[in-house]
Amino acid sequence: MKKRGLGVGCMFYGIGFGFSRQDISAATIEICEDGSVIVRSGEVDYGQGSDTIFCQMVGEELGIPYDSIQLITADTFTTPNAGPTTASRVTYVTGNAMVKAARAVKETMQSVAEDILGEGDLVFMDGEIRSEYPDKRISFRDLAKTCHARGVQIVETAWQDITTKDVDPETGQGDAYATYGWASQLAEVEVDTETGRVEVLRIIAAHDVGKAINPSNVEGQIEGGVLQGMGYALTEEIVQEGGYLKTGSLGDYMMPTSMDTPRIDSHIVEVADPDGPYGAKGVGEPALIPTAPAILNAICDALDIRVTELPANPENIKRLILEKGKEEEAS
Amino acid sequence: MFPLRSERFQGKFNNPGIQRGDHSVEKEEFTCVGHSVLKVDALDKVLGRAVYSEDMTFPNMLHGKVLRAGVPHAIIENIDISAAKAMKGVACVLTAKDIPGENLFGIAFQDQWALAEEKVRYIGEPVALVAAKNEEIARDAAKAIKVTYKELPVVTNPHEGLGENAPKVHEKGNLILHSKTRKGDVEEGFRQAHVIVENTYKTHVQDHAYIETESGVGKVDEHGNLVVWSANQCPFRDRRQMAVVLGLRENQIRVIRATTGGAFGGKDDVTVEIHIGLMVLATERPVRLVLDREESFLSQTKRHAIEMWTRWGATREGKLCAMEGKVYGDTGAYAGLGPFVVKKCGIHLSGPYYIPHVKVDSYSVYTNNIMASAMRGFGVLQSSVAHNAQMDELARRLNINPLQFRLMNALDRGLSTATGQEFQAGIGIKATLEKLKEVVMKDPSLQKYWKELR
Amino acid sequence: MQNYQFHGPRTVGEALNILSERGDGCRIIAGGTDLIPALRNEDILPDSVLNILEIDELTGISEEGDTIRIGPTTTFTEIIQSQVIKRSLPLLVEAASSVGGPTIRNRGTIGGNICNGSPAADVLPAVVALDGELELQSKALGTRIIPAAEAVEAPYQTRFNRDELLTGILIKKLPSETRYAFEKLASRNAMARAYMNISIVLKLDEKGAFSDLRIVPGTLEAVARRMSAAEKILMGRQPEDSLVEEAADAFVGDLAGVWIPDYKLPVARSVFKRVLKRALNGSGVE
Repeated sequence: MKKRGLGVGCMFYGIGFGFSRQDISAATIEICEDGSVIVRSGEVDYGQGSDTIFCQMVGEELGIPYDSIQLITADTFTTPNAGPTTASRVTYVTGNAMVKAARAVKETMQSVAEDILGEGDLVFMDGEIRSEYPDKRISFRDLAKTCHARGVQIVETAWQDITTKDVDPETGQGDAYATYGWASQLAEVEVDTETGRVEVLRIIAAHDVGKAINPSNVEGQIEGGVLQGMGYALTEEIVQEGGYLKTGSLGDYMMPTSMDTPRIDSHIVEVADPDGPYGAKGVGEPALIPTAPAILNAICDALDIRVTELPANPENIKRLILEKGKEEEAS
Repeated sequence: MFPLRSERFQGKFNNPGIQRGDHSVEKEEFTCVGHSVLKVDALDKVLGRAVYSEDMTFPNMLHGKVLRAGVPHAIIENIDISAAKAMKGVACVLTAKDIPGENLFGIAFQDQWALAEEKVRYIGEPVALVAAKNEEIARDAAKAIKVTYKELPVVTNPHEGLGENAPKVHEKGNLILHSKTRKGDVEEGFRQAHVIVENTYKTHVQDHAYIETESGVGKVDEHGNLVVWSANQCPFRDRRQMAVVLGLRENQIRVIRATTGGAFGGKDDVTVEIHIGLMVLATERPVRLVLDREESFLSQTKRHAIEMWTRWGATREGKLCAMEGKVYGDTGAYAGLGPFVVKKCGIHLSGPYYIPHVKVDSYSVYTNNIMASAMRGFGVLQSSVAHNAQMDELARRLNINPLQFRLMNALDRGLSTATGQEFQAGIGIKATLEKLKEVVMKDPSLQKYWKELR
Repeated sequence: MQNYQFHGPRTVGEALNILSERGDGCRIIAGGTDLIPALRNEDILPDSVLNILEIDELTGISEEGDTIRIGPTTTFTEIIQSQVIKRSLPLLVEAASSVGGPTIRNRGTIGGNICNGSPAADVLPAVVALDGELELQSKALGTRIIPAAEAVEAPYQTRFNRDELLTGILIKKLPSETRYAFEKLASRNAMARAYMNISIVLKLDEKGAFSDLRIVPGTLEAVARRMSAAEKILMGRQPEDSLVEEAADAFVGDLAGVWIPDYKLPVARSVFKRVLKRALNGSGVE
């Protein structure tokens, strides 16, 4: 028989290291003579998309195309230490360093532009610095040239520190984290009671990311997280016995495939964080966390069986179904 | 060989990209931020042009291979490298004796040997390194190294590890870190409870299983500095740990993140960087070291198996009044970031809810299993398995819809977390729950499950 | 490092010569989806490897009267896409579709699936259920034909002589109104090692009683075979619920040496009933 259920899972996640562990980041922005821009930061993009959003942030501040920026990252000889890509901290910490550095450069350039144009209230957009008068504007390129000619400093390094104060070691009381990410997901599942197989029909994910710097990238994080969370809940398991590994290859270790992927509806919720860049918080880890509990609660809704030992693979689910049957027979 | 950047981005400026999903907050006037622009590395990845460290090659380059313990807990009685060293094409065979600096590393707790000295503590522990002119010779030479072990009894879970007569994985004892959270008075809290739910949850081990395994390539540059390109999460942390073992100053080590095919926390600890450094320094030739999938499974860090006992109380009105928990994390043979993972699990065990009385103890414990360290979710995933189950069980006994019950208890402005932290803004838990509620209320196919939801 | 001689003959004759000379230490490679990992892990250490992919006579699907001949190096994808197979042996399409993922199906061959002798083979049980036969050739014995059911002696061990080459899989077109069903159970939908698969081919007479029936499970036992106890109960009788239950008991009772029996035995009972019902409800071959 096939039984269906709906379950909810939610979470909060402390962004950054917390607990007085040093949590710093840095970015350097340099404007070349022709107005092209080099950004340097020690932050690592290992596929999650931080390089893209850094370019978007700097592009936004300086009013230049995001993909014209030369971004050099994660090189201990040429980039400033930005800390690791962990703890869903990159957007929040390094993003702030990017915005700070860009604003510092912009401030200098703006004062030069004000001097050239004789106007205040300038905006940086579409590769130009514009006043309210159409004839009083200067291209980013020409402004950069002028800055260089005048010997104005247009290299800026920004430092961002979100290290929190330590909590009380005996009670753990205190400001543990600089901020938190928040998320809730629904899972609709169908359980085959004969085989114990759980099929996830649909995941509906609602993630508060403060501000989505790149919405489709956020959705990508959510969709990847959902699959990784689904694998955790249902089929992935490293088995060790007596210190020996029993699942030593991808032939034994069952991650979800594209054929197992459920419908995933992502909803981006934006409750701005006052200290995040444009209000943004991290999403890297929150993306994964609610999926498994939502699936487990949906299984419980379908079968009236609470899985307390993971994973909810066919063998474990079938065992629980058989045990429940026996109990009901006995009573 | 590599395209110029100008070519890469040709015609791709200001691509507005696709826009999907919906947004609860009104769009502000941004030109770039908030837009789904094409990822800057997208073209290189889909066209196969991205250069991973495994794609990098240098003249005279050697191929490295790590000999791993193969036994979970044992004293090393002897290592005989003579046969391996004599093999044609082998450039170096290194053991702990050949380490130029201090044989000790680890991000937070320095408890790990780059190459095992007296003892091995898990099956994947590195014992010796071989660099040879090709991978086959390196593999055969590693097999030709004869290590004599005296096997020791093993610790396979945290409870065993904390037992009085447990074998000691490390001399200082098996408990790595005990963290506490104490808020209010739990006994008083449970006295107010109308329903109490108590359960033990056991989570299992997950592998990061990224598409690219741990890999890197290193050489000495034209100035005599060590350069290593690798798949990593923080070149600076790697550099710090490399400097100690290699006996170099940090400013002599250049670590560059090569294009990396995923990490999920698994490349947070040092993976191949120290070993590459040792082989490059010993041979003064470029060396590449790429783990195959089986070696990655056998030797690299994993997600913690965590056991969580927890007890929650709620009032008749459906307000959480107390929670208590004990968290036991199987950190495996070395600490890595494990103690912080287990601590973070404990801190998040109370979920995104306001609970006035909280008491949690978390224990991170050494065992002879494969190291557990950082993995996407970092202990919070495990805690959410427990607290979401507890919330559903309480909701059921109180006859309240589970989503509604979460909304009733969700953190909000001025309500404190388990560590007593309060925020005045940016608390999004209710907004995400409300969004789900809205979705359910609009969709009859979902509403049928939760007819009671209003 | 493994050192072995590599042979790449272009004709069956050349291949048979090599086999008769090298016999024992020679391993035959076709798609390589099983052999390459085994070589890499050094699970096998052959002194020569014989590639048969370059032999044109060994690939392709042809009709010879009421028999369909499938060359052993025909890939799973080719089987799935073949109109002839789709029309006359649709069960084989289902079984071949369940193998691995697209990359494995593009590379892996039906001959390899049979000759590898894996207990977890997806296609071999279907071939047995279709009453298929195997054509073997060697210099010593010439050509002989054996039932597919006799191909495998023990896991990863065939009954073929060391100098014999599988040169064809011969399956009679299913008579009209023959019904069939196949189901594979695994923990995920692709690239999965199965818990079990079950192939059923049956025919009902004008009274609605079983007049022909072959039930072959895969992965449950060490070697795929027909489940005669269950077949015997059903043959000649009409598929009433109580009879199906009786047959399911016999099916499970007949199984021996099942891995993870606590899970697989009760589940196999359910899956058996499900596959049988699906076969009965199906419209059958035209």
